Amino acid sequence: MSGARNQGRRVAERHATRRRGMSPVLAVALGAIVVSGAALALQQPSDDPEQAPDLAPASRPLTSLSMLCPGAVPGSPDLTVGHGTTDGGEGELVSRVAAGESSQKINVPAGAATTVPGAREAVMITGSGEQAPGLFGARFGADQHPAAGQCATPAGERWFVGAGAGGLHESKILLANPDTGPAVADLTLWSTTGELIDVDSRGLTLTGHGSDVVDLAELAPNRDALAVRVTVSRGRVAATVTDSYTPRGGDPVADWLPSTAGPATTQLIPAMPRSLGEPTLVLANPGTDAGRVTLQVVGEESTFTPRGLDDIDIPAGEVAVSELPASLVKLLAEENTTLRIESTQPVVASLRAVVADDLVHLPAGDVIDGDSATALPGRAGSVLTLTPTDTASRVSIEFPGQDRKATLVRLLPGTTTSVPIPARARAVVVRGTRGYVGAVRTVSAAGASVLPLRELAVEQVIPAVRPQWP
Amino acid sequence: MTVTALLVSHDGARWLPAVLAGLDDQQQPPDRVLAVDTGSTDESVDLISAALGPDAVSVHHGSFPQAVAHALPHLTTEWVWLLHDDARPEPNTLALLLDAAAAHGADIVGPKLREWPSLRRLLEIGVTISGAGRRETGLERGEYDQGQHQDVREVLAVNTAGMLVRRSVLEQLGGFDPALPVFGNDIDFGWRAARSGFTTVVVPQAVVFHAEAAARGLRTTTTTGRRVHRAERSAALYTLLVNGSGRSLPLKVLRLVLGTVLRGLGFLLARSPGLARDEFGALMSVLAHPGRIRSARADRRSLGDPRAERVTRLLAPWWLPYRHGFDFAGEVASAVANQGRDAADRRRVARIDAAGAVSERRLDDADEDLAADSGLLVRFITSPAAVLSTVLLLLSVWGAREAFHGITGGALSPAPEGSGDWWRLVTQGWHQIGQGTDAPTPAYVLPLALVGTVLLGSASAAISLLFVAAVPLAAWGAWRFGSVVAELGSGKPASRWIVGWAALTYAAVPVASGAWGQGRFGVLASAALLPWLAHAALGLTDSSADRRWRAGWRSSLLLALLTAFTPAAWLFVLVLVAIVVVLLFVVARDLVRRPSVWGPLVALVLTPPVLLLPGAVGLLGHDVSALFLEAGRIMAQPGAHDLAAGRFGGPSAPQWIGLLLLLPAVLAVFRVRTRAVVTACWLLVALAAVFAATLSHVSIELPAGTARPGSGFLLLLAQAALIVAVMVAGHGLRESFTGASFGWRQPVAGLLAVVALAVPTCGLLWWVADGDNLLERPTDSEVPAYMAQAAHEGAGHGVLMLRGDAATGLTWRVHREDGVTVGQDEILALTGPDRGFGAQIQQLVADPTAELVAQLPARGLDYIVMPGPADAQVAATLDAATGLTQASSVDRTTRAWQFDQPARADALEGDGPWWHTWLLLVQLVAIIVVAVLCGPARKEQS
Repeated sequence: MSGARNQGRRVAERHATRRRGMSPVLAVALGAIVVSGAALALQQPSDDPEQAPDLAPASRPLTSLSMLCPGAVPGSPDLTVGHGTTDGGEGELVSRVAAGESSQKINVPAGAATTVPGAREAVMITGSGEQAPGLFGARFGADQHPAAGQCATPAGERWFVGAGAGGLHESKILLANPDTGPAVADLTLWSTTGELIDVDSRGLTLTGHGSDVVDLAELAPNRDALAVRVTVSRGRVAATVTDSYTPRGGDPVADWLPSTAGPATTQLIPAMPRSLGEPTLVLANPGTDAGRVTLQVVGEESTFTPRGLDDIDIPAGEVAVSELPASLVKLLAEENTTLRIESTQPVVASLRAVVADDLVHLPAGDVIDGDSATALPGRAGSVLTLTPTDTASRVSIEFPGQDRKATLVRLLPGTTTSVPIPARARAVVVRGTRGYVGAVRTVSAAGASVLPLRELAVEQVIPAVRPQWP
Repeated sequence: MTVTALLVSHDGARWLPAVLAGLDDQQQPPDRVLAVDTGSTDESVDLISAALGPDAVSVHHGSFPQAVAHALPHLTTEWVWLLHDDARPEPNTLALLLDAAAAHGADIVGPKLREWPSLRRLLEIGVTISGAGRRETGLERGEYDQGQHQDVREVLAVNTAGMLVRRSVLEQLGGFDPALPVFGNDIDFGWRAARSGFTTVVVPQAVVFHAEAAARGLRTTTTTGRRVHRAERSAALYTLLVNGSGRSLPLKVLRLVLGTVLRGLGFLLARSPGLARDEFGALMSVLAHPGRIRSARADRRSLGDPRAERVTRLLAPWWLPYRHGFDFAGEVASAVANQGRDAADRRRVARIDAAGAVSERRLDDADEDLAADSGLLVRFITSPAAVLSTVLLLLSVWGAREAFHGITGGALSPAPEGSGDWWRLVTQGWHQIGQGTDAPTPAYVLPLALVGTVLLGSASAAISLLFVAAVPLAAWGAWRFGSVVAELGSGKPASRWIVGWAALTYAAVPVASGAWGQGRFGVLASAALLPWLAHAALGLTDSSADRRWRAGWRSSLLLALLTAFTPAAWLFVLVLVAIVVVLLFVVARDLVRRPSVWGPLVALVLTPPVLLLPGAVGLLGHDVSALFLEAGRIMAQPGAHDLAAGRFGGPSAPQWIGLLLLLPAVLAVFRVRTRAVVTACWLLVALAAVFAATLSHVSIELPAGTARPGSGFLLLLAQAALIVAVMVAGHGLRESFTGASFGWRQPVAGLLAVVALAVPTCGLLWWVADGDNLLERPTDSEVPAYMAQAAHEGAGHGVLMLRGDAATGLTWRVHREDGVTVGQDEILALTGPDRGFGAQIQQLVADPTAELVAQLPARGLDYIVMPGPADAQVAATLDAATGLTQASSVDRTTRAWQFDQPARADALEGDGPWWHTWLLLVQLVAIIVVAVLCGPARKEQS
């Protein structure tokens, strides 16, 4: 027992002597710990090699552009085709009948718009090489029945709101495939009672260079207000809609139904005519939640909400039709305005009205971030209306073929700017950079037509490509 | 019955006095004694002349058969008794032989041969030959004569030492074949006699002691040469070929060639290259003289049907060679096992020596005593180590349950269809994957292919085995390494509990770190191998030079394996060895100068690159920094926090569990007794941390992006070093507190123990219970089934996969055959960018001209697939292209196109580098040589 105690003491003494200075081994050990910590501090943070940065696409001038121009109505003049760019050169323009192979070359000078002779039926115009960028065009109605149908480029999704399949209002959709391979499009229809699930509108196959006319009356008979979405699942398809409407106590009027902007919580319908008959707002809510829509008027000085105007409730998956109250129509008559639609859910919208016994469709405008253009009927009484989405910007307005300088206009948010258009102008080109919507309204004694500005396709996006991470 | 004893001698002076005495002592002496000397250079002739008289001796230079042939005309007796100068008969031998000959009507009679001078060991009781040419005695090696073989029985042949043969038979058969000067002439003679209808019996009661001077190499003559084994083998091969039936001759030759290769390999594995050379030399010498065999067969044609039943039943059964093969393999395996046991025993003896006296009886010994008397079950349930390891094994199998079927995910690509795909990757220098590449195959494919082949060619079973067995294997290795290090480091007997803790904690590292769940199979394999490497490397400190060399080779083999899976291992060991050598040079300069000290170290670091050929050279043509890419798909590398906690980021056990280990590891340096080892561990940790920090600043530019070197090995090593530090410091802690008065140290130590216990417990529990991971069953191909089928037609039929959208960039990959499988990821990663093909795809998605679309099938493309949701713009662009037809796909969102022109089947064909095959051969030879060098040494023939 005592021996153990003694030993314990000796051990303790040994420790005591050792503690006087730090042992070199301990110093090395502590040094190693410090070095380890320091090395950790210099360690690069974790990285995930698969999270490679996005590669922005490049762009280059378009080398090929096709557009489907609707067929003529009785009394239509020749098709108007224009170039929104001035550097035309190599390449060619070919007009091919949408439902066939017969084609002819056409000639449009760079930076100009002109009527081109050709077929009366719907045609597919394809520009290649330097003739492709900035191509646009439209077909117009007879003088006694002003109407306008723009040429439409192929797109993955197009909305047509305010189509009809009832006795007084009938719409037909023309689908055309610009390419040689087959294309497949789907039609989705909404009516005031909801989405038309069982309609036989899915998987419409178009052969190469083929076209098809879909009569909405066959898909959804006796519906007066329809919203139609055309989606393309294969290939490329361009779509236009012809419309026939019989006003109260009048004769049937043929017109084209322009496509409208896709679902959004804010929609702008520019170029409201000063005087309107039967102004009917058609709204569609393709989502799954009910929405509430408020109407505002974007005037020349400011945006205001008309007093005494009720909100419009729009159930999920349904179309709502609402006639604009007289008080609002009265306000619209006072100045050039844009109708602003604010909704709690993304909606699509279009306005239908009768002006001097002539049917006019006013679509919600696509927001444009660059240059835009539209062909013009070349008659007096046209006004260009521009409304920026949320920021101020400057735009330059050109009238190809007219010997006048470009007009510089400053767009202020919350206001509508209108620019009168020379009587003989065949086209207007707006060069801008920030978001705006615009349309040209032409009113005559015989009626009215509205041509929304369409963004010019001048560049082609080239996706960046790299090997997949192994 | 008259008998002549015929003694043939050659330099047998050492044994002749006893032989002559034995002859003289015969109870029934031979009627006549003749001796033929074949040209002795010692006093043999004098000895015989003195004993038998000069007339009885004749000198005839030549072999044994020639000597017999020389004496034959001078013989007149009915029987001839052949004796060697190293064969001493017992006094009653001749009498017994003659009695048996008369009783059994035999023509040839042989005695039982016993070893001279040990006198008790049996050498032969009749011999026969196996189909592989082995001389079969039917005896165990070193079997003692205890009277167990006492029946007179018919045999194929008897040894010429002591053979009693009718003179007429000898004459009729033309004596012994002179083509068999020393070995095998007895079997040949017996075989011929059997064919001719003579009977050979062995009489076990008659004994002759035989020194087997020639066979043991005690006597070299011009006829045996220096290579006894070669002479023996060529005699055996010759005997087989000349005596067997003619119809089976081609088959027999084939079998002997294959058998020679196998036996040669076996001798190489047993580190007997000389014997292996003899095997091949013997085969060559026999096959090089077909004329000799033809004429010998012609001589024997008149003897009788070689396929007669009475002949074939005397030959060894067909299965005997295979049993010998199994025995040999078993012996090698037990020798390897014994080697490890020897090392353990050596340590135990050293410990007992150091202790000076037998200390207190340890609990283990009591266990062992109990164990010795009890049944297996009792032994099992009374051993906590056995129970605990069984529990761990079951838990690990449960934790790894997902790996029982095919798995993929994280770094793990799906396994190929069979191990044959891996062999193709290994053996071919040009791979028909991607757009065809000569990028080197990752080195781990070879071991995987080997394992897959063993598992009946299933690649997916090999991967599953890795994922199921890695944890138990890591624990086992850690246990073995821990037992040694704990004892060396703490100077106390290793505590089972603390070593068990260390093994468990280490086994938890690969799973808790996330390596298992993230499919980082390279790290997983390294985790299983690292403790075995460390254990082997301990042998480098052995006092025996031979063991140091063997440890060096073994470590190099294991290091090569580790490097194959986690390439940073080699560089780390290289630096570590350099540091150790410099330190040794400073401390003990004389020691380092000894080749047996620095040699194994050099072997350790220089051998792996040779073992990893041809990948090691193939890399030089590519980005060398890719040397550091870990096995599998390229994954995120851990940051500082992850490294400190031993985690890889992603799905892994909570970080705090890993950080707990740091506390006892840091405090371990304050324990004086074990400070040296703990410091060494921390130095390793520091080195690993510096390495990891350095590597984290290296970026590897690959065609698809930038990657970082893998730090998985460093993470493992740091964790292992921390565990060893805690384990060593924990030894003797309890004993040092039990006698001491209570103070602050006890609670702190208790707390540390709890903290330390929490690390493996929580880590393993997390794995077994939660086990969040990225692994999943391999799903069906994302390519539509009919395209996958078309892709199987050949590597030239590819499917271009396009993902992403135009706004953020598209990525492409070419699906060929089964898609990218384990082993191909690195090849694709290393393949330099194919700028031409990249540009073609760039143009394809933007402006697919007819010319371009016509060119792509020649690059081995049949289809284009954009998995859903396909980018509308790109899809529309491809829809519009001439020469492409829309193809059906799995779902509406996926888009697919077919090229109108079919792909060229040979589109990807190419030539690998010319040196690939040569490097493969070098690698094969290096693997065999190193495997032989690290195997246990076969005792030299004495």
